[in-house]
Amino acid sequence: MSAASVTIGEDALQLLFRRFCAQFHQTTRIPLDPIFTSPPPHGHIVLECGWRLSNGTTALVKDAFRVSNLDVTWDPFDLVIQIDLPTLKIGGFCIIDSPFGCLLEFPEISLFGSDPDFEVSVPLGGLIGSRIVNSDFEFFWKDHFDADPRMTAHESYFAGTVDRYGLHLDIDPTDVHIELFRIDATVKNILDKVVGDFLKLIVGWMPDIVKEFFGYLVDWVIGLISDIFGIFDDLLNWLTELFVKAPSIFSFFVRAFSIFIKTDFALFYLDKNFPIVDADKADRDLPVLLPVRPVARPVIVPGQELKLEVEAT
Amino acid sequence: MRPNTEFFLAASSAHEKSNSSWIWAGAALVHNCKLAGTVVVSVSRDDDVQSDFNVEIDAAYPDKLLDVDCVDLFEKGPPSRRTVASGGYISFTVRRGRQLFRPSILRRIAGGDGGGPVTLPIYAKEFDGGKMGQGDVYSTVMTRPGKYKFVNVVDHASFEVEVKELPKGEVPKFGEKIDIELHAGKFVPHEAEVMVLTGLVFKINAPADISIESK
Repeated sequence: MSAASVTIGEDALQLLFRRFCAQFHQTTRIPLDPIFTSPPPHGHIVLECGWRLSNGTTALVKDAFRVSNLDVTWDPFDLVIQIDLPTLKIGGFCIIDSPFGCLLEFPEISLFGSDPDFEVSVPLGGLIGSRIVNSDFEFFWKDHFDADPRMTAHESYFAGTVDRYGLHLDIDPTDVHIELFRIDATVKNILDKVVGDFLKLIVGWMPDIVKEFFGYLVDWVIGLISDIFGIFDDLLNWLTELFVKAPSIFSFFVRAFSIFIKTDFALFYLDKNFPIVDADKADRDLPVLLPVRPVARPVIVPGQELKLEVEAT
Repeated sequence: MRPNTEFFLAASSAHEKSNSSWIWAGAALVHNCKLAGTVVVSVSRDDDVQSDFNVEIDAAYPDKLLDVDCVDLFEKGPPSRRTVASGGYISFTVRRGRQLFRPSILRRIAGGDGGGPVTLPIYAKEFDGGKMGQGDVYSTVMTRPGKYKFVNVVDHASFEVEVKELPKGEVPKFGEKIDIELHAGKFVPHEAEVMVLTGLVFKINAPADISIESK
């Protein structure tokens, strides 16, 4: 059996990795701790977030592919605040009793009967900066069975869905070193604006009857909601804790990221039936397909290149 | 963080200086119709528009209640049913909007019957919020914390109520009410302490015209 060797230079690997990064965008919904549980009103915060990757440098070091200063951008980073207020009832009591029950009730107005009653989203995406610092990845080969098993190798070749080996990166999630390096101080302004708009919305939504005659009640409700938002009085600190206090919200990113690189996205693919001679060049109808397979693990030459040994089977 | 709430609204002044003649979304009037016959129900709105219609009070009629939704009255016209049992009630309620209404009930006491020489009908006021009597009801919801005094202008009897703030940190009971009986020369009870948004139901047993003062 003859062996062949494919080498990929360090620069080319960086390009491949950047292409990987450009394709990475995952989103998730993370329920955070309830912020106000008892007594009512109840409040919950859900973080709707996603991540994009950019910049970063890569290097081949001893036994590893090292990624440094890879920006992890939070896109989006929306704090969705759900508020459930106690149901308020005005009226509804009996004015005229009769032997058969209540003949006439005072007209009833009921407010905040839903659960949650209100939801407000505070978009903070773009104001938070985080990055992966010096994390070492391993290379490994993974089988991708994409071809239709009923097809011959040539049929698969022309159909464009062939079985391949993918060159993937692997890392233990605990070895991903990620840090928060910036929370823009303007997050507080955004929160204040959103909350202000939100309160106006609630008041606007209340029936005229309530606004006109039950101004006290409106103020009371506004007070309750303000109390909920009071937990954000030190918003910077609150946000920072999300990132630094275990379990940190980084863990959601690290999990998504490590699964993605390990299973979904390869830096490089090698067709199992490698077309060593194209159909055109050989002046033939069919290309020459050589069944190959990788030999053992990729070999790293630090600072230079990655050697992929393959052999014909 | 406590946002500026000034832009919200000037709080209600419905109870600052008020009386039982005008009803609004937080007040209702009920007349107990004792005598059979035809009455004229007349409701004035605070912009001086008035709407009148006849109601038959019929001893043999089964329905004990005729509710007049004052907003509907001006927007859609009088209720389709305009009969009520004698001994029953005509109630006046305001279920939406921000206007004030002044309901009254008149009864023709002479003339206008087409018999003999032509005469104009002569009406006497049987009921309004300033002329309540046995069996009538005035009800109002206390919308703001504070101390209020309800005075029967007819005999200067009074009822004092202290309206408390909604408690923080617990869910208040809503839709609560207390009944107050108005007798000649006295309210029973003559004082009370209630949570804001509580309803007061004045059950009238003597001639009454109630004024409300904020103390």
